[in-house]
Amino acid sequence: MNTKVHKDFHGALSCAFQFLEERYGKKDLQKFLERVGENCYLNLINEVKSNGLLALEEYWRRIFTLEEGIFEVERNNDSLTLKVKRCPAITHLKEVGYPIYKDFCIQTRIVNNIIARETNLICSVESNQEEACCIQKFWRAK
Amino acid sequence: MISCTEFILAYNELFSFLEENYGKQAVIEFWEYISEEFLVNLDRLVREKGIKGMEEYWTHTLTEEKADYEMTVKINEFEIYMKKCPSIDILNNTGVKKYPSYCEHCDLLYRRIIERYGFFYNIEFIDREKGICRLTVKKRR
Repeated sequence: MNTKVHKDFHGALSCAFQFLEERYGKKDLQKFLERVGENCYLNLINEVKSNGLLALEEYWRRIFTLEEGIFEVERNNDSLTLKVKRCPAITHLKEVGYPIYKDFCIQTRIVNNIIARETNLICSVESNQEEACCIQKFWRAK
Repeated sequence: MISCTEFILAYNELFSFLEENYGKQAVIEFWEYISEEFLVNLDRLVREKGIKGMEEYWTHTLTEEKADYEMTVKINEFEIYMKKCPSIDILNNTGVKKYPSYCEHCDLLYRRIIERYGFFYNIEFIDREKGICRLTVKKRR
């Protein structure tokens, strides 16, 4: 069975970010990504509402395995941490030679913020785009 | 990271975002931008290999996208009969609001490149809801 996924789509997304910033400014890029979070991640948001951080853990494990990222996930009762040691999107773009939008990781910050806002969680993202790594956290408000 | 498996949802959302805020012309300008700035590999393949380059490009992308299609390659003709477009399938199965003119990007993006190198390009949208279409390319005499 063909298990490969079409990673070139990350390049098209990077190109879309560049277009939005060039033509309409970074605020519109942010607005667009907020819409993506609200409309495209509704199923995940509902799963997190129903099943808590476990749903997010399963989601991360599924997509980062599918995309062949190198990562670790740690979960306890109140928090979930994803350590991305090799981001599959940035790695692919570098390997193929596609231009990478200067703030490519904005997608993670904004989409995670929307997921957190909609599920009454708190989140943080520390990313190093050059090194293709990041640490993403979600935790319950005290 | 927006997974590449979620890209189609984001792409669809961007078309709607641009049209709602800036009109259809903004969507067309985005497609033109993608065609020029992103599809450089298709441009190179068609420039260097013609129809063989089209075969190479779409075999790679449609296999990775797990499309259900038939491809016909002749010396001066190339055809993809898309039986189930993977993008439309994703949009239909995730409950997002589909951008009404979603299919049109396949006309503009590829036509700009393929016609540049001496081919006629046509795409017939047979059933936009089910994702059935026919892309035909013929060498100009």
